[in-house]
Amino acid sequence: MSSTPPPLGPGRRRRKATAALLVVAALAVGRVVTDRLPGDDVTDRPFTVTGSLTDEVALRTGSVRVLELHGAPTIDTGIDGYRTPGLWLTASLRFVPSDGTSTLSYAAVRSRDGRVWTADGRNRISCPLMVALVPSRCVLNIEVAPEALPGAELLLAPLSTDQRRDSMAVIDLGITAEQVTQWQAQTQTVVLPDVEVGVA
Amino acid sequence: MAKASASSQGWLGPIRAWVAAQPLARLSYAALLIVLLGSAPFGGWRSTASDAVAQAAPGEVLSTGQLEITMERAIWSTRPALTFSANKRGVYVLVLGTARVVGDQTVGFQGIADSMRLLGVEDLYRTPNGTEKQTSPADQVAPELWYRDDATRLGALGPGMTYGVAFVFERRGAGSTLGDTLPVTVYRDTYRRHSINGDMEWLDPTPAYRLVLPLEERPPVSEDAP
Repeated sequence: MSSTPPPLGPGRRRRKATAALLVVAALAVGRVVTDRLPGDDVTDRPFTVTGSLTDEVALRTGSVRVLELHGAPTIDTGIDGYRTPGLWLTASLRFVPSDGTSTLSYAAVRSRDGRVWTADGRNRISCPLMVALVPSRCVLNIEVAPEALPGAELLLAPLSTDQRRDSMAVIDLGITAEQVTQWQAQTQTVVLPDVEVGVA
Repeated sequence: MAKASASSQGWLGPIRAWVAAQPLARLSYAALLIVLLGSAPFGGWRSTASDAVAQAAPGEVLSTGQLEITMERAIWSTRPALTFSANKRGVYVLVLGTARVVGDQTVGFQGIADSMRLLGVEDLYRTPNGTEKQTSPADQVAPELWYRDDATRLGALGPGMTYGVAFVFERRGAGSTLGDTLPVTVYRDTYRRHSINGDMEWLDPTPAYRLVLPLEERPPVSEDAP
């Protein structure tokens, strides 16, 4: 007693085809929409606060200003002496936490062409974890390819491990090609200043 | 009635009938053939990169994905520089060469650690997970990278600069001796999306090059040396 299914009428067949077309169209629209949504590289970007060398730049956790900037082929950190195939960029910074205990633990130099030298390994930012409104002097040393220094920016953020959606200072260092040439010719080792608490 | 049923099945009818008449084994082969043919537009027939390990020569520029490195020779010593502590229970093995970042970002510790191994060398020593050091299989012992100009350790490499480097290993135990050559295996990473965090990262270090370097002993440096 096998029974054959009744043949599909023209109306039912048309409804099925329409439903299939609607599903495909919905999938295509969904794909177009998701393709046009910004990706993680956009949605996770830090909130940048720009400034120049003399500016006080306000971050989510405090304000920062560059006190001194130097370049040299060799530096003395007080513990180690370092040479480099590039050029050491050193800076001392004044950081004042605005609300709660904070520090700066991410630093990087970004060139005009987008290359990034991060404070990692022997490239360091030393900054004390400090309570609100107490200023401190932070010190950083990063080795950079010399040709990348003119027009380079200093990036600073509270957390070294994760800068996503956090505030980030982007400071135009105002370095010129002449300055780089002078730094390359420098024979004297730059001695890094000590980290200090309570600097004016 | 039969005629009406056949026409309602349309062009699928004969195909169904033919499929129903075939043995299961033949249907399996047919399905496999269809999948193979269907995969062609999506790269199914594209040849994959060879995973064979290439033989390299000393001084040749080798790519790990993130780094371009050269390796020229190797030395061993109980104290190759004053910035090393004198090794009383073993020797340091140093592979000398150069390293340069390929991309535009700083390459950190992991990219350096994954770059090479001394496969075939016994009694290599390491510090697993920050605990006390122990001898380990050679494929688990990562090098430390030192900058030769100032004999300090490089935890990271920035782009645009070529470093004269030493890949440093420590070896303990007197069970075997070092010969006058050192086998080195250089690994290459793959840039792909991480399956857990979704970020694009350099992952899956795989042996890519094998080379044999001349190895020689260096006398330990002394604090009293001029």
